[in-house]
Amino acid sequence: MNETAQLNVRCAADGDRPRLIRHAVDSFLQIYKIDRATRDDIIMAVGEALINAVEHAYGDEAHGSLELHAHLKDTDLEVEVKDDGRFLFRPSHEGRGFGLRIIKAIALRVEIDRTSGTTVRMLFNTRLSHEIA
Amino acid sequence: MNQTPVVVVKFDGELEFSRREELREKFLSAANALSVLLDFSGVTYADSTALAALIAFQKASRKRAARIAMVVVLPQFDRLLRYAGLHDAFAVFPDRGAALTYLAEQKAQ
Repeated sequence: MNETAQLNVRCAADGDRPRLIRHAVDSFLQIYKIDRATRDDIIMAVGEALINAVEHAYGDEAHGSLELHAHLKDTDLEVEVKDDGRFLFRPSHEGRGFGLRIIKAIALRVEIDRTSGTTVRMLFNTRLSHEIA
Repeated sequence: MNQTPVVVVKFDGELEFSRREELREKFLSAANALSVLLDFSGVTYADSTALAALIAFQKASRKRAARIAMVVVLPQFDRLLRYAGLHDAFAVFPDRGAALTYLAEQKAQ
């Protein structure tokens, strides 16, 4: 693939959105013939970032917006999950907060940017992601 | 012979964030059981929401010395446990027969 394929989603950060966006990412990856195991791993990581954005980012306040931007070029897939809230991946010992651990086990690189809301930026290799953990 | 009944809790579909309350209620249905088979063979996706509910159930089960066996068929769920560092925290089996055998053996000890 020479050009960059893109998927962009912007919506309200409601509780059913992680599932819907996860399915959209899965369909996007199917178009480019990414194998099932690799897709499963990528959407697992993306799903955790989406849950974090919805569950933690807004606390008890009214829900804000949620954005996902995916860029696929050759075997590199970069996915950004953005929200307007504050970052709050909880520690795993609480029985919650496995999200960041799962993302780090799957993604080649993870960056968390809190300069304006929270952006979780993940890089995946679409041929190898399920083999590297 | 005193037999402890095995309580089976069956899960289906996507175990994810929007079903978190339903998941907690499902686990509550086995809150007093001493031998529990968690059958995830009908699951098509699981995320950390399911893991959180599972860990909470395991903690509560330990307090009453309950035994838990899990049936996990979906490779994605198996890898989720591994990525979260939880694969060794549970007795995981590929089918009900193996899980029930494990629970029976645990009772006999």
